[in-house]
Amino acid sequence: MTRWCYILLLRLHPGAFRQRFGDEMLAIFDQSARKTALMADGFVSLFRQRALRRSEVVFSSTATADGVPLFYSAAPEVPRAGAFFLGMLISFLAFGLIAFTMSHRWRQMNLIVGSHHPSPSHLLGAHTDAQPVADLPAEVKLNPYPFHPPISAYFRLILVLAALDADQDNEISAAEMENAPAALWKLDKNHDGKLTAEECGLKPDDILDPMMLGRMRLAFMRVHPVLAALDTNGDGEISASEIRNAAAALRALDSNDDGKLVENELRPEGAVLEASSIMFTLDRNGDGRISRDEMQGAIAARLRGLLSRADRTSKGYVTEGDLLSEIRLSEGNR
Amino acid sequence: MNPYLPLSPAALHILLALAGEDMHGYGIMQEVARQSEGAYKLGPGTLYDNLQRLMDQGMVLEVSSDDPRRRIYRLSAQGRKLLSAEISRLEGVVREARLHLRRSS
Repeated sequence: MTRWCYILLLRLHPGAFRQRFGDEMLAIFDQSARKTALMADGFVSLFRQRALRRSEVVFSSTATADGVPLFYSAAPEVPRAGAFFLGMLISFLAFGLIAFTMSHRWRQMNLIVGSHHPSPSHLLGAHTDAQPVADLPAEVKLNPYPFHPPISAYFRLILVLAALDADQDNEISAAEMENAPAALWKLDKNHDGKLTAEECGLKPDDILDPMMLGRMRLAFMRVHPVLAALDTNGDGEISASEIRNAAAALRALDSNDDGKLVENELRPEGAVLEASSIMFTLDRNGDGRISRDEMQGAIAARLRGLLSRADRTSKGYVTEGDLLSEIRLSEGNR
Repeated sequence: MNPYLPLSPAALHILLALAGEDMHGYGIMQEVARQSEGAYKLGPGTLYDNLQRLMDQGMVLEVSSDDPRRRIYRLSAQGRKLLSAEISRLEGVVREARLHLRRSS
């Protein structure tokens, strides 16, 4: 293969040079063990032949009349106009062509062309004082990148899922569930022994006041099934003991008992998202109810029909459960 | 002033290698490595690029050989003169260098 490339390189030299010295250069190449060095040397000679030797040699003055040196290089010739560009262009094209060919037919050349395989290591913090945890067992994929399926947008959004899905196949296998504590500890960026909503994937706006932020955290942890399953006491954080019991909590989500969790079992129901969103917007005092006072305003006016239907017993307020029942009912009627 | 001076390192080593005896290309490469104790290694591209230039200038001649893949090269009289001029120039450089080093020490 390298011999073939060297012949290709020789062919790119000017015809007169090639006919005169090509056979000798190839004979030396065959004898030498330093093939890589000779390839590099071939590129240099190609550049020099194209840039410096193509036209009649022009000598420059290397010193002024008073003996002050003007110019000195490895060779005293001055290239003709445009020859540098031509020589560089041909050398770069030749290098690119050879590198491309070798990368497709000769695996070792990947060192030159480069390769990339996705790795879950980006989930790890750069600096950590946390106790070392047992890493997930390596799993060799038969079809590596670029045949690897793209990571689901939902798995990217919920960092807990991204951490659990070590092999990035958009499924949480039985082994990955078993290793859940080790994977979750990696998300504890501030090493306080628990996972907050932000560490699980929430990206709140900076303009939120502390009360709204607290409500948003609770809603985020409650609405996503995997987070709700892990946060067993519903306090909006995944504590150390909840992390230790993560495997059992995740297995409870496996509704079809096939030993793995797929996206359909992990995504929140649309009605749940909608009900949670309405509660977050209208329940301004955060008491878990939308009162008559909170039903004022432009947004509530648009939802008046839904809110009045949800308050079936005319108790004067609407809970998230009421909203969810009504939304599901209306979805069923469609 | 000789327009061919100063010689490039590659040209100087090639002329030096051929000063002893006629040689083929691979022999020149080995002789250059020997003379420089392995510090300067010529590749075939650099060798023949410089050989071509030296032959065009009439400093090196090609002599007949039985093997067409192994041509023999010889230093011409003009080449020998050029090499001598370059050595004289280098001797001047060395002399100046010694003088300056002595002053500074």
